[in-house]
Amino acid sequence: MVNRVRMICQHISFVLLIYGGRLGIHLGSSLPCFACPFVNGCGGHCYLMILQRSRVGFQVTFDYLFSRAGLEVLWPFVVFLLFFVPLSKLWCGWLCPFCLFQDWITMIRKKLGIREMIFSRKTHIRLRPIKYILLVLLILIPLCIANFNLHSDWALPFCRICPAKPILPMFAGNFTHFHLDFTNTVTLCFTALSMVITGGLLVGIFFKERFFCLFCPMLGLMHIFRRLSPVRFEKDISGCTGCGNCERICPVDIHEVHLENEKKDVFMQNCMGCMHCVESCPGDNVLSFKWFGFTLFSSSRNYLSLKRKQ
Amino acid sequence: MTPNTVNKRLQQLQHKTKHQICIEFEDQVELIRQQPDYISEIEPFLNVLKYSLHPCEFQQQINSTMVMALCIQAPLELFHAARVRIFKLACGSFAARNMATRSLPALTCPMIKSSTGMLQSQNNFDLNRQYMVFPTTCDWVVKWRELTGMDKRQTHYMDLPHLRENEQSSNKWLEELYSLKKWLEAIVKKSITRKDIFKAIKAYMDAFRIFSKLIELRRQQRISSVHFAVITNALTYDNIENWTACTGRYILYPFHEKKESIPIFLAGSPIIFPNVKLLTLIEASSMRVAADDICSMERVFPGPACYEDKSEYALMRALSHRYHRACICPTFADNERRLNGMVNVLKNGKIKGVIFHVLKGCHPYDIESVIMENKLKTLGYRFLKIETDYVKEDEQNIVTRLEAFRQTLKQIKKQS
Amino acid sequence: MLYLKHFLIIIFFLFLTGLIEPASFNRLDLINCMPVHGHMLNSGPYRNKRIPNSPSFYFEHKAPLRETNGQVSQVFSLIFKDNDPDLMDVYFTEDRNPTIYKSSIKDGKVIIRAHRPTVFQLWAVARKGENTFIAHTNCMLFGNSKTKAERIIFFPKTPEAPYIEMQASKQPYWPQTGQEFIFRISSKTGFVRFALPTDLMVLSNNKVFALKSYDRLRYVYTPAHDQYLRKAGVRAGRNDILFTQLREADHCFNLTHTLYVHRSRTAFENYAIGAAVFGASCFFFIGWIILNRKRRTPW
Repeated sequence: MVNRVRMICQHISFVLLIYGGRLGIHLGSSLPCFACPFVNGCGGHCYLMILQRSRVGFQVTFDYLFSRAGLEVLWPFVVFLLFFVPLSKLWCGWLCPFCLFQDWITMIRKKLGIREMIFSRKTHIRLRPIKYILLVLLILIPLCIANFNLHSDWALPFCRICPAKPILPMFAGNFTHFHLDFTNTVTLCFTALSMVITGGLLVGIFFKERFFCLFCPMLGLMHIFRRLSPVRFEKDISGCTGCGNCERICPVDIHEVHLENEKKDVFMQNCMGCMHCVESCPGDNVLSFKWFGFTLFSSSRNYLSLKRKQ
Repeated sequence: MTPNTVNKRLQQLQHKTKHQICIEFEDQVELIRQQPDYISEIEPFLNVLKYSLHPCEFQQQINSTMVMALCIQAPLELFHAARVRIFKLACGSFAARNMATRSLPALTCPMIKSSTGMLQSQNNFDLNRQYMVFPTTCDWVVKWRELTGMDKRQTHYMDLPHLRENEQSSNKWLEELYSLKKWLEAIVKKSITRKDIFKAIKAYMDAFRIFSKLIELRRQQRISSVHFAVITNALTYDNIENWTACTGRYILYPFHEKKESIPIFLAGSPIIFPNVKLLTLIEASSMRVAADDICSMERVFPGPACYEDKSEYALMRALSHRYHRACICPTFADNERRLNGMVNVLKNGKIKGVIFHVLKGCHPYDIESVIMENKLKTLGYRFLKIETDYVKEDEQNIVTRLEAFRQTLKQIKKQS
Repeated sequence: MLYLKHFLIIIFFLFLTGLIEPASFNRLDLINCMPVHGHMLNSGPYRNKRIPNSPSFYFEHKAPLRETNGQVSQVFSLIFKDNDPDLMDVYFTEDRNPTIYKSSIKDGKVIIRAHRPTVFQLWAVARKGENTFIAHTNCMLFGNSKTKAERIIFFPKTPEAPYIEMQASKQPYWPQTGQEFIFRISSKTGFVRFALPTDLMVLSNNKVFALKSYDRLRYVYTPAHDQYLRKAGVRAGRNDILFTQLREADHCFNLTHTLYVHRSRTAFENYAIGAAVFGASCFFFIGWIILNRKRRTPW
């Protein structure tokens, strides 16, 4: 039931964010999801692009950044927070168009009966900092371009390698982002890297559900500010029997929810609020998503038995 | 004594024991039938349990291969997928226990003793030709094959890692499941496909759904604990589709809530039919088991096997976790969370007392009882440990203790 | 073998930073699927002896600068090859607004400021004896400030000096090499009273070419790709000067238009190789996953 509602939300959001511009809808340039600006006629832009841009992003000189005009960098962030705060990381699980694309790929794999790639807990822990490294780089590189004469072809560094850039425009009939740019070595390297990463991630997404989310800097960014949001993911430690369903069902194999034995808050770094774990928890009210203290959805043995019937 | 005389005496003993087992079973069934809460929907389960004491007849009755298994860690779904029928080697017969007294140490676990006796009481039943699965849970189970002098070619050990939350253990257990699958494939001379496993999981999922409803009725104190034990005990001997259908019919009966009885939580060693002595005594003391975490009762279904996709690996992984991580066997080293589930049920069901059943000689549960007692008392719950056997002589003693326990719970109820 | 991986990563990063470049990189043009627009397209070698072989008065674009108040300023150098002119005026218009504003000149430099996104057209008119020099150019600045840029209205309101006008390009984005641009001789009043020149010259990368007109009024110019621009980055530009001379009686009008072109954004993209790399990457990772899977979980 919850999964079905989530899929409906994702599809509506996909149509809105990919084709919205053609319907005269544009939600701005500070969306906390992968609404790719490279899609012709899209209905909103990903905030990560703004972060890397000149004037409103970090591709500005230090003088400008610390002057009054530097406040302009803050405005998109304020808008980002306005979008982010009410829904927190539910943006990822419920509204991100690239996540839906990943879900489609997973659906194909599941239909074919091909098994998922399972990473060890150690690998997951090792992969975790990548999203933050990307986040730091996508701020540092534009600053270096503006201040330390880094080659201007490094502009929008994350967008250049982001797999959403070649993939999402395809849904608007644009396949031109699959290319190598021979303008110079920098563009050639970036486009080659982009093609390799896109190919690798696409294969990864096929074999591992929500594979890209493991590296998504947007998820990292949102995780930093998750406390500002009223959305909470809590675990009743005293009710968990440690069956491990939550870890196994989780698209990104978060093991902390399963192992957590002390804290109530289990809104982990990679968690995107898809609620798969809540659906599969056999303990009554052991896992619950809350909004301003009001329970949005909580686990129950009955729900699980009925869900499995479907 | 000549070998002929020995054989003759053995045959006589076998015959006598078998007869006693039948009488014990019939007595217990008759007792159930005489109870005021008896309903005819329990009969199919009693019929199934009749064969649980006679593996020879069980084998003749089924059309497929029989595989005997100890403990609940051997995944029932895999046996179903392989189209073999599982016969759970857990016997609660006092009469059967007597048969094995001479061949086993004095302080052997009664269940092991009884199961051994039951097998030894079978005429023309070559133990060495039986397929057996042993998950290495407690020491009794581990050494059981050697104790009975069984041929190891027909047996399959599942090396149970005694850490539940460790990743390596989970992977190891998954390997064990694959190895069991291979072993079963060799028995049935047919490969077990992912569709077979999926169908089996689905069948057990349907059973779980009905079982959840049964548990709901139990929480509301609408059904008898003895009935519940009969139903859950029958699961490991019955065809799952048949069990689901029978349970489905059973829960349709309009049960009434028994308001005057005090709800209690039962934990500890398994209660195996026909030895439902403790349950009968609890009910006779105006208490009712509203919940339990006994591996032969409520914990036969620790939850459904949730799979992330329908690939063979995912299904096997789901089964592996379902029978390892979700299991609350006291032989696990990191078993602290066992208490969580218990406390959650105690809280939600407003249950104030826990009765801990320990079979004399069942060391893991004996050890566990001390840990549980300390923790539960700290949380403000009343705890009663009852150490018993399959004998009936200690019934009066148990009744007295249960009476006192009921009074304590009554007082708490009044105070609150 | 142990360090090969590290060595390859270092080489890749050196390429990525543009610090090294393979000697044969220029030849990569050969495998591009987009045609390279060269000097010979729409143009030919300069032969007209009546027109001087170099422009004598023109604008030169410098890099725009974002100021701390949010305005964007653009500096233009006014190059006057002869001695100082007797008289010089610089004026500009904003977007489609007909009002003409005056700009000051300091040390041969003109600064235009914008507080909002604005398209500017600039003219500089200088006189020296019987010669009138008219330089023209246009640019777009993306200002974003609440502090309005100062404007001084120019008088007379409608100067009728002829100039080389660039027609609006069909191509989006800023002027790029490889794109077609159409020019004509025009005046602010919209008609030309002068005899049309036979040729329109272009000074690009220190070389002069004559543009052919494809009808009586219009000239087509396709700026050539440039190795410098390709390397220099996306914001770098090149000043291509279009120039000609008009005569009326004894009076001579020297017209120039500065076209500030950037490198082409799409001309060097190769789709076939891109798809091949993408496909190879997919196959590599599929193989890697399957092999690893078989090794780790043999069942």
